Amino acid sequence: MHELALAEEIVRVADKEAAHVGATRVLSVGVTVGQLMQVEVDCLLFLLGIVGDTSRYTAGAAFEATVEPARLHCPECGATWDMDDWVFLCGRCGSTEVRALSGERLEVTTMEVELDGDGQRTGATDRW
Amino acid sequence: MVKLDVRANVLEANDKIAARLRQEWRGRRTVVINLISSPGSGKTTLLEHTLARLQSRLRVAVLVGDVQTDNDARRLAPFGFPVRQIVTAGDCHLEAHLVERHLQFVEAAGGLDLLFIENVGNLVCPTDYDLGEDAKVVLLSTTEGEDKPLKYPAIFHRATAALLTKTDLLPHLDFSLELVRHNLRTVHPGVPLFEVSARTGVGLEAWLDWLFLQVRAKCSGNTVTGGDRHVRGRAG
Ligand SMILES: Nc1nc2c(ncn2[C@@H]2O[C@H](COP(=O)(O)OP(=O)(O)O)[C@@H](O)[C@H]2O)c(=O)[nH]1
Ligand SMILES: [Mg+2]
Ligand SMILES: [Zn+2]
Repeated sequence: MHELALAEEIVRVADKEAAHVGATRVLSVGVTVGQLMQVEVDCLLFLLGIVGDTSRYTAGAAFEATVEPARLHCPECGATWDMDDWVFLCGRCGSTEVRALSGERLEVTTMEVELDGDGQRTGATDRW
Repeated sequence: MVKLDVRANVLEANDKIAARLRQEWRGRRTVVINLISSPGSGKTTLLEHTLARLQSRLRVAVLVGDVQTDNDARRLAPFGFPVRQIVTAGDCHLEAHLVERHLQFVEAAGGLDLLFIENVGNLVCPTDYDLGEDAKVVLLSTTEGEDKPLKYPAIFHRATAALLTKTDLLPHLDFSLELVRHNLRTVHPGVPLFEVSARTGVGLEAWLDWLFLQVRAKCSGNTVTGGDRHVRGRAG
């Protein structure tokens, strides 16, 4: 049920952003999910479809998810590789000090919105 | 149609409160331990035996989260430390705002050395929710099988310490200590593992020593555990 709580947070963040830029409607939401966050992406997208429809901004919006792969790094021998199966041992030197360089992101990355009188206000909008 | 470059952390609301809590507890030099496991792995039992051994040695308080009932708080009350039940009414994990709501209670308890937060029984959901703790501690009981660190790697990877509980049951089970140690060390090579039985008391001394070490380190201004090294945030 972890995915349900996350879907609610994602819609909350999208609503806040939409309100902030004065959007009338959200057309799409691009979410980035780190591989280390243990999120079932299919389940999350399914729930986003349901939860999204409860908000006047995101109703009918298309939700997309991109998985951010976990890059691992060994500070002892300098090796860097893509994580396979949560093995945090260095395959080259056996070090146990392996760190994740990426894979812990959980963010609303992009959105496409319709603004009031769309077409007059254009251009990228900065966040608050 | 306008494209927005948003890059907003989905858990920002929780993380902001957690950061505030962490700051608060840094100032108070209170070590905060977030206990996470499946239902029934022995979190409350471990706390009962831990509190019994900390009486008149440390100032401790407990917040205990459950979906329903205050049974656990009642089990923990007899040790003379302040205990507060947080009933989540359906939610499968504690969030920072629920903990913050009980901060007053924790403060009323006076200067604390150690605050335990027993999370809701679940190996997945509590993992991503920072409560401002110094350490997430994960429990796995011998009756759950050796493969749990591989099945639920995120919490075992992120925990600062792990406990294998109910070791008194080993003679009755086909449970390989070698295998569980190996699985844990695969997903989190350096993590300290305490193999304990609350029933017999075996292994509890090492766990208590570790707790004292955390308290001493925080008193002197640094954290042995390095705090929550799971740092999230916006990339841009
Ligand atoms: N044999 C044995 N049983 C234990 C031990 N620790 C806990 N239990 C039992 O496991 C069950 C669940 O324990 P509890 O502490 O309520 O688990 P929690 O849900 O994680 O808080 C209870 O029946 C406990 O008596 C132990 O060290 N040995
Ligand atoms: Mg309990
Ligand atoms: Zn290496």
